[in-house]
Amino acid sequence: MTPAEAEIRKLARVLGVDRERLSYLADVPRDDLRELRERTTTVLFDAHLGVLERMAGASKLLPPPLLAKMAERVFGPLLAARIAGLVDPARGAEIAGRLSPGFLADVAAELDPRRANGIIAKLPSRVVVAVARELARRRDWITIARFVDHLPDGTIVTSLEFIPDDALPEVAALLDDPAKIAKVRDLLPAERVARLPEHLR
Amino acid sequence: MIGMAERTLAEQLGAAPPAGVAALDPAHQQDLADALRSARRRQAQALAEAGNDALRFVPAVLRPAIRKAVGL
Repeated sequence: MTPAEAEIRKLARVLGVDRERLSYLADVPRDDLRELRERTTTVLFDAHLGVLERMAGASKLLPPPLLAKMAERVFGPLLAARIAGLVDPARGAEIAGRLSPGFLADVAAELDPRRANGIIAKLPSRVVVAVARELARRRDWITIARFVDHLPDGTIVTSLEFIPDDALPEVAALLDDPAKIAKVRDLLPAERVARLPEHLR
Repeated sequence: MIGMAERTLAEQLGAAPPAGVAALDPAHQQDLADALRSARRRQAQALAEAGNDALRFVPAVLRPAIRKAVGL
């Protein structure tokens, strides 16, 4: 996967379209694609921000068990992901701890980790690992790569156990920060590093 | 026509798109603008539906306070 192809896949995810639809972007420089993706993300997360902030404010009046039920039955993953960065991180983590791994994996796919890193940092590691396992089962390497920047090393180590060797090059190609490739490599056991393609060793 | 497509995508993004994107065929720029608009519309629709359904889950005694906080 070329850097441009990785960017096109990530942009397609943000826009909710098939990546084949964006094939006309193949010759656009990677940095321009990345800027387009980041600005698109900002547009979508800032749209309806006033209403979302008021909803997050109103949620303080309701108990976490009820909010968890409402998240799964009413809000759905898209809105839950938009609101996640607007609620108090400790309370958000408490609500997240009551959600199913399947729903949290859906939310993670819609989340901008830069905006929700307060909650992510407070999530119990058992929850993160359950979500990582579900994302790996779905082979959602885009979402897994996006979270590598925002998880503590211990959680990354556990999560890497669910990612098969043949998927590691794909996850590496999808990382936003190429410097993180070295970090992930350092967290892998030696026998798995030895099985990586030469350019990643 | 080229200007129209650029403005449309620029309007969606709030400013001119990156140079490599601005150099694309106008139809492709329009497709990006359309995709972004559709994503915003899906989000707005999800928000409207959630707003309508959420109050059913809220205990009746709390509904006035929630309505006030959300601005309904």
